Amino acid sequence: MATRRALKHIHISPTQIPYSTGAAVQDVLVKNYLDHKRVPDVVPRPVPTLLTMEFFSVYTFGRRQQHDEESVRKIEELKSKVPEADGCVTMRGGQTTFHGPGQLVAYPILDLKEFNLSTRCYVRMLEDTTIELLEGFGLRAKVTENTGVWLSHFEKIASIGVHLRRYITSHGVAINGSTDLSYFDQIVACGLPESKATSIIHAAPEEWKRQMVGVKNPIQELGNRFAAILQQNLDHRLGHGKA
Amino acid sequence: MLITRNSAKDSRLARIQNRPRIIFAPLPHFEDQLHLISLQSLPRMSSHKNILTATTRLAAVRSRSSAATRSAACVPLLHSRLYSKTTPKTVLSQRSTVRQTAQSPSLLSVNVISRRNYVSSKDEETPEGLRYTEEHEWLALEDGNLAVIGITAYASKALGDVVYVELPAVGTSVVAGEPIGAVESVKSASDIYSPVSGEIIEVNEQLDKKPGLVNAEPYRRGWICKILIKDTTELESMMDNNGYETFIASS
Repeated sequence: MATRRALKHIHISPTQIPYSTGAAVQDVLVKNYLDHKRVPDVVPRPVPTLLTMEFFSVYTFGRRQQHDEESVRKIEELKSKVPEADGCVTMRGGQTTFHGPGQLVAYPILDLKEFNLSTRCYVRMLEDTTIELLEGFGLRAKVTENTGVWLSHFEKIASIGVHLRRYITSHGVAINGSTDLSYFDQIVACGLPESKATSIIHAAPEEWKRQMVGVKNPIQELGNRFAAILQQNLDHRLGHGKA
Repeated sequence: MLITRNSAKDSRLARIQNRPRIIFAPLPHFEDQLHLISLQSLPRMSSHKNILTATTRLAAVRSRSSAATRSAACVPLLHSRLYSKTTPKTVLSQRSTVRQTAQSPSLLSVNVISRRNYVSSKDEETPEGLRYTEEHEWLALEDGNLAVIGITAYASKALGDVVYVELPAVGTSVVAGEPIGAVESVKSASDIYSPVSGEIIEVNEQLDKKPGLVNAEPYRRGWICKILIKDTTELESMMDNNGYETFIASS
């Protein structure tokens, strides 16, 4: 039974932040891990961290789309159609997605080797964590052959895109809490034309209102719950906690 | 149909030994009618007569072979630089009786041989004769200093279906341990690290259209790039197939 690794949860500021800030914080954490791997005697072992945040409106693109001409054209088109939203190319997998107010963005930064996870198992764990989080609102979410977490065959409630460098994870999940879904109309989310986006407030409005009635920052509350569930899943993975 | 008899006289042998050695061994597989085996793994060459015999046999095979393989390297290729994408796979025939030779004091002292020289028609899990890294990349040496790199079957299975491979640019100089691209599966993108230092000579353009080759044939058509190595001592620190199998069993 391996040593229990407690997950540190950091929620970046109570309000929304620009995408570049979140990406920068994430890069610092990942670099710390990579430095530890490169010179383990000099850099102490970092703690696995879960970063949660809420972004200002931004469309992000996966690494596939930076070189492809058609994608570049689409990126320009998006910039002109929706000027108030930023656009940013990232190094994660997957294609175009939207982040904005009302959406929980959760980036676990951890070393898969520590938890003995393969890439697929890790993504599966993220999906399971999201599904469990949504169960708290009475939503029966599921996983299909397409990425992300779905409420039905064509309603997507959470998207997933991960980047791995020497087993260090970055990027993660984006769960729609009370996101403005009209932004998703402009893009074909993750390359699937028939799909449309949904959110917790869209699918279970009474539950959301009931649970978030006194909460100052509902996204931070969602983040706390996500952290608790992810910690449980990681413990379970390492053999601690309830079986 | 491999020619292995070594019956030449010393003087003739000495002359022949200085010549590049090429052997053609037609195989029963449709695609692999004609094979070119790189010279490092050959036994001491047979007589001059046998080279001629080989050539005439080649002519016969060439006339029988299909158009597809005719376009492949029927001409003896002595240097891997001349290899194009249509270089045929070189797999030793099951019926061949190649003797292992004393290895020349060159890169072969590192005991890394071309990936084309293992006997199997399917991709083995961990082929012999290649070198492996802890990041699950394999390396094979083609003629001289040219290293071919890819990811192992273990890695490609762990990733799932590969949907995109980000290839490095030809001509880039790389340092060992530096990321040179990424392999993206449906849900994640993982960086690929260069096991050696050198210059990228060629990338596998087939992966643009068919990234699934990394899953289907990780050691063959799913190769990622070719690097011209500067310092061959880097190879000695890499694992061989047994070391790699131990490594993945323990992780």
